[in-house]
Amino acid sequence: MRRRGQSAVEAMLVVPIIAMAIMVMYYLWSVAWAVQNAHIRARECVLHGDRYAPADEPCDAPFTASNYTRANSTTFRFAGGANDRTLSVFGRAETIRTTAVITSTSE
Amino acid sequence: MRRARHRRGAAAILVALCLMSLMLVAAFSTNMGIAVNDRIRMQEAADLSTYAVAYSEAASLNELTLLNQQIAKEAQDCRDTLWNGGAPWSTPCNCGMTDPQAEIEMQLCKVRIDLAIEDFVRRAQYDETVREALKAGYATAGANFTGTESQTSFFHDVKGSPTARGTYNVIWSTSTLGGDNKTPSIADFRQIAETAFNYRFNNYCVTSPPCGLSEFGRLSPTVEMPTWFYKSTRDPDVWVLGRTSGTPLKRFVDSDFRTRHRHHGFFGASSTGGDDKLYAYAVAKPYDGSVGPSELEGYQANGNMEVYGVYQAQGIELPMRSMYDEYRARLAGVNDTLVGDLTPADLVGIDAARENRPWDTSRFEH
Repeated sequence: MRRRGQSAVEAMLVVPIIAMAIMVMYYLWSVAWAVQNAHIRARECVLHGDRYAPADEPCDAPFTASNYTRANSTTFRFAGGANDRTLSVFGRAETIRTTAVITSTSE
Repeated sequence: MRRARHRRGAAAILVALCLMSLMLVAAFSTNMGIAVNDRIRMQEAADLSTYAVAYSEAASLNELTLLNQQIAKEAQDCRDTLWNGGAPWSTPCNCGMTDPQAEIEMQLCKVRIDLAIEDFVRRAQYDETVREALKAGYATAGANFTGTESQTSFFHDVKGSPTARGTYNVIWSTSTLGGDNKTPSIADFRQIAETAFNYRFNNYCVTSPPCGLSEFGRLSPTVEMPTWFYKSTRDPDVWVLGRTSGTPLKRFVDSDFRTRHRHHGFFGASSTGGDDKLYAYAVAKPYDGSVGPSELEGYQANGNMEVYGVYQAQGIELPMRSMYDEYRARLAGVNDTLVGDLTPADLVGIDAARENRPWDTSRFEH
């Protein structure tokens, strides 16, 4: 009689932990995905400017409508930023922002 | 009773085992996520830093193009002066093979052209072009992935690499200082050595009447001078291979047991029992410009367009038309068609041997 309900208790203890772990892994995967997306977008942004960038993601990059622009000076700094959002977990989603830089001088 | 007492605490053990397993899985997953993310960031650092080197080189090539145009402009001005400035040059009682006033102009021309040549050579030398471009590459690597600036190589220490000192040289000479000087440079530049100059003058060498005009518009002997520079190719030999490598420090589990934590590492990364450093290669190059008249030949390349025995300034316009300062930079592939003593794939092979690891260049085409 004492053992009745023991498995239910064990399940009640383990299931939330497993669920939490799965949610955490899901969230970490989502963060990693968003970070990679943001990095790749920033790279494309700084290389190709607004050509492939969304309208709200301006880029200061050496690229015109169809071509790389002329190399004007040996002193240069081009930067492009990009955002991506993680998936929503417990109603919360984070925005990841990265910046890619092409520069002639150390900062 | 005895059996129930024996099972007391079973749930705690089960929970502990589950927790441990889950934490390990979470740690390994996070580790792999960090590794993949760092690999992507490393590739971006390699791409952008290599692009920065090529962009800086492209800017230098544009400046060299303008300096080369300046040499041609000086030569054109000299011909204008010799042909239109005073011709036929007329110095009373001059019965020599040349005209003294015109010869003074010729000497001034030599000095002006020589100064323009020296400007070109100074700007073309390795320290002003490639070395500065490499600095830009390291700065860009560090700006995108802190720490990679010291882990990035553009192979300037490999003999035959386009970024190595001495792989390419500019061979130059001047009319007044002499020639066959050799200076390490961003590319192999050769110099036009026989751009011709002459002029018409009046000769007064007759006995009666004294100093009377004997010949109107006599042609002076031709003087050949070294002038502008050219390349034998349209720059496929100016390119840069970059490599970023390293083992990122952020990790939860270091599972690289086989190398005794020498490089630290990530789960699964050392399945071959070897090095688990991450590597990223990139190739970039300047393109779309032309420093000198590589596509012209013969009198066109020299600007020696002769009309009625006089070399005309207009002949220089043809070579000048092939000097266009429109260099840009683009990313290329390891297996792109680039020339030189070494190809990018050769350099990757040399690097792999140096790092004691096999490398399949076909895996990297971007």
